[in-house]
Amino acid sequence: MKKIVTIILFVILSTALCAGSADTKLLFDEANTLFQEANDAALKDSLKSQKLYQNAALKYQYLICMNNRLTPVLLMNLGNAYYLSGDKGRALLNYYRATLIDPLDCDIQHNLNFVRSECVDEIEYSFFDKIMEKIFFFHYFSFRTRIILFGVIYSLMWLTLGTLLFKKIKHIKVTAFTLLAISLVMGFSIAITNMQLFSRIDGVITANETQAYQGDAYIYNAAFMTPLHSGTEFKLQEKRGDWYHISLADGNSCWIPSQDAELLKDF
Amino acid sequence: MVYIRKLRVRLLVIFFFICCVVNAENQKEIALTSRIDASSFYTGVPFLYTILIDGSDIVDKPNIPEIKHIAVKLLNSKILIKYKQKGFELRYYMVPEKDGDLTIPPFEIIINRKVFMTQAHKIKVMRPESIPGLKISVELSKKQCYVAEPIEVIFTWYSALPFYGYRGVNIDLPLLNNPAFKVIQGVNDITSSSSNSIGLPVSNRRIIAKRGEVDIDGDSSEFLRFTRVLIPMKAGDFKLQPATLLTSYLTPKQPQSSKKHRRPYRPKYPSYFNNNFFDDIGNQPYQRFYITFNSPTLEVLNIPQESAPLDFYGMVGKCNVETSVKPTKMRVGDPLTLTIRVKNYSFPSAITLPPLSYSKSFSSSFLIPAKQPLGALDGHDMVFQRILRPLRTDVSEIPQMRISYFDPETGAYSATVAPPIKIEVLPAETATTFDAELSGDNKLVNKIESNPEGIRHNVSDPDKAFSNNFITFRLLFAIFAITPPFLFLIVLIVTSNYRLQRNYPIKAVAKFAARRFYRDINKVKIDKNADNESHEFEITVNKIDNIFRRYFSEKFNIQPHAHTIVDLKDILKNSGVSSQTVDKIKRIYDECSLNRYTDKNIEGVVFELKDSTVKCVKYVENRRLNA
Repeated sequence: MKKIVTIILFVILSTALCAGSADTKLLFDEANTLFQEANDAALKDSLKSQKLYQNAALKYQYLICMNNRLTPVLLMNLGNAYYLSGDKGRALLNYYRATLIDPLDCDIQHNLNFVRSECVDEIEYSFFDKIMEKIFFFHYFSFRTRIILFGVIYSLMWLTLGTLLFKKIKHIKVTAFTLLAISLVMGFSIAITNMQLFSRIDGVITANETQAYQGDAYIYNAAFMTPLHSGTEFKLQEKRGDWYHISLADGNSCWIPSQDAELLKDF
Repeated sequence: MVYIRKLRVRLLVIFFFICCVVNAENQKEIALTSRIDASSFYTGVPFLYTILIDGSDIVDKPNIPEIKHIAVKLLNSKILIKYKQKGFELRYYMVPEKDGDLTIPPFEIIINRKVFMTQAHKIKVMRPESIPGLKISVELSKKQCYVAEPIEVIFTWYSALPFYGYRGVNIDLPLLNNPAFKVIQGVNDITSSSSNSIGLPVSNRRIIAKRGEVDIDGDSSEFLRFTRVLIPMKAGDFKLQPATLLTSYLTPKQPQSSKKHRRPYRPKYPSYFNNNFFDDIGNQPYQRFYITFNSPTLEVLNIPQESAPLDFYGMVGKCNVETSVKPTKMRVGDPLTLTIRVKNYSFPSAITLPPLSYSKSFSSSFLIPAKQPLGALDGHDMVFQRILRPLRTDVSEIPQMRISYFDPETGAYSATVAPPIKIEVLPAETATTFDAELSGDNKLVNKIESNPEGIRHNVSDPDKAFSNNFITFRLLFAIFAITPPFLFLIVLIVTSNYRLQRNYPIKAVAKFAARRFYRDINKVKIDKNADNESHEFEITVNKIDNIFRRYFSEKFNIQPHAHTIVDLKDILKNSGVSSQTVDKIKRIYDECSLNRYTDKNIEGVVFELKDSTVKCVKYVENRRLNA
C-alpha cells in the first residue's frame, strides 16, 4: 500500500514539475513572440510597438518574479523590452541586476553602458574622484578586461618564475618582480570591484521626471534647480515613509518620493 | 676679504633700494569716483550709477545698503587696464520709485584691504505726467495653459493724442525677456510693407505694430498693436511683470483738429523709419508721460507624463498632418523630396519637427542628410521638406508619418497620422565614384568599425535563458589564480632531478645512490645449486662488493675502489651513523675482500652478505645522509 502511495505521489510531483517547466517555456516563447512582433511593428507603428514591448516586459517580469527564474539573460531581455518601450530607468535597473549576477557578460555590459550614456541627468564626479580616475586609470577598465589582464600578467609572472628555475638572470628576476607587483595591483582592483559590486549603487530613478526636495515632504524647497530624470543612479541613505533620502554620484543628497524610484534589491 | 665685504654692503643697498621702489609702487594712490549721468530723473526711469576705482583692481564687491525709494541692481563689474594702470569699474542699475529729492548715500568699498567711501549724490526725481486716453494693455489669449502650449499675447498702446507728437518712446515689455517663455512671431503679424504698419521701440528692439483707430467712451483714439506667440517653457503660476511706457510728447506747432491731419505720415518709407518714436527731443519744450499696466497672470500646467506616447516630442495642440513625395519612382541612392504639411494648428509658426532620423522606420530604409531645410509657412500651414535617399530596392513605401500631440482641450494625448506612400525603388544603374574606387589599383577598403550605439539582441533560446551555468567571474578569477601556480608546481617537481643534476651533480649522484644500489642489488641473483668450484659465488661477492662500494662512493663523493673502511668510518661517524652499523659495514667490506685473498668456502657468506648490504643502506638512507 505504501509503495502504491509513494508511486502515485512521485507521478503527481513529476507531472507537476514537467507542467511547470512547460508553462515557463511557453511563457518565455510568448514573451519572445511579443518582442519580435514589437520589433516588426516599430518600423510601421511606434505606438503599437510600444504597447507590444510593454506586454513583453510584463511577461519577462512575470517569469522572473513568479517563477523565480532570476537569470542574467532573462533580466537582460526584460531590460531590452523596457528600453525599447521607452522606460530607460527600469531598463537600466534590470541591466544592473543582470550585472550583479553575471558581471562578465559583454552584451549586458554593453547595454548597460549604452543606456547610461542616454540618461538625461549628467552628474559630474567630484574632483577627488576625477584625480583617482587619472591615477588608477586601470581600475576604470571593464571588469572583464581587468580579469583577463590579471590572468595574462599573473600567468606571465609564473612563467618568468619558471624560467628562473633554469636560468637565474637578473633581468628575468626584475621582470618577475614587476609582473608580481602589477598582478597584485590588478588583483586588488578586482577585489575592490567585487566588494563594491553590491554597494556601488542602491537604486535608479524610474519616473520620467521627479522633483528632488531638501526634506521628506513636498513643503521643502527643491534640492536642485531642475528635476531629476529616469536612469539617474543613487545610493540610498535612508528610507522614511514614502520618501527615499538619496545621494548622487557627485555627493549631493536629496529626498525623492519612493514611487519615483526602484531599488536594486527590490525584486 | 675687504673687497667681498664692500660687495656685500653694495648688494644690501641695492636690495633695500629695490624694496623701497616696490613698496612705493604698491603704495601708489588709489582714487575712487562715483558718478551718475544726470541729476534729474523721472520715477520708474532707470539710470546708471558708476563707481570707478583708479590704481587698484583688488576690490571686494560692496554690499550697497538699501537706498530709500531707489531700487538697486548690480549690472556688471570689470577690471580696467589702461597704459599699465590698474583700475576697476562697478556699474549699478538704479530705478527711482518715488518723486522728490532723493539722496544716494555714501557707502564703504574695500580696495586692497583699505576702506574707501563713495560720494553722496543728490538727485531730483519728477513724476511723469499721465493723461486720460493714454494707456497700454497686455492681453493673453488664455489664463491657463500647458507647458509648450502656444498662446497669443496682444500688446496695445492707446493714445488720444496723435502718435506723430511722441518722441523718445521707451516701451518695456519684460515678458519678451522672460526665460520662462519662448516668444516667437505669429502668422498674422503685420509686415513692414503693410500700409498701416509702424516701427515701435520695445525692450531694446524694433517691433512692427499695426496702427488703427478706435472709439473709447465716445472719444476717438488711435492705437498701435502687435501680437506675439508665447510658449511657456516651465510650469507654475506666473504674474507677469508690468509693461511700462515712458515717452515724451512734443506738442505740434499747428494743432491738428481733423482726423485727416492727425495722421500726417503715410508709409513713404519702410515702416521702420516712418515715425518719430526713436528721435531725441533736443531743447524743445516737451511733456513726459509714464504709464504702466497691471500685470496679467498665467497659470502654466505640466503635461501629464504617465501616458505620453514614445514618439511624443513636446507638441501641444491639435493638428493634422499630410505627406506627399516626389518622385515616387527612383533609383537606389537618388534623392526624393518628402513634403510634410502640418495643418489646422492654432499657431503654425510654433511648429517644429524632430529629425526623421530619430524614427527607426525612416532611418532603416533611407539615408537622411543631417542638414535639412527649416519649415516654411504656407498660409496657415507649416510645410517641411525633407530630402531622403532610399538605401535598398526592397524599400517599397515612405512609412507613415505620425505626429503625437497633447490635446489641451481633452487633456489627453492623441496623434495625427499620414498614411504610408508607395514608392518604387530601382537598382542603381550608373557607377558612382565610390563604386569606381572599390575596384582598380587604388581601391578603397571598407574599414569595419563597431558601432557603440544601440542595445544588443535579446536571447530567445530557453536553455540559455533559464541557465545559471555561466562562468562566474569568481570561477574565472579562481581559474586564473590557481592554474599558473599549479602548472609551476608540476614543472618544479618534474624538473627537480634535472635541475639538481644540472646545478649540483654531486648532490644528484648522492640522491640517487640508494635508488641505483637497490636496482643493482636486486639484479644480483644467487644460485643455491651453483658449484663452489665454478667461482660463481666469488663473482657474486665481487658484484655485491662493487655495488656496495659504489653506493658509498656516490653517497659521500669518494672514489669507489680507492677508499678503505678507515676512510669511510670517519665519514660515517661524522654523519651520525652508529658504531654498530659502522661495524657491520666494516664486516661486509672485510668479507668481500676476504674472497679475494683466500680460497675459503664463501657459499654461506654470500646469502647473508646481500641482506646485510641492503640493511646497511636502508639504515644509512633513513639517517638521510648526503655528501
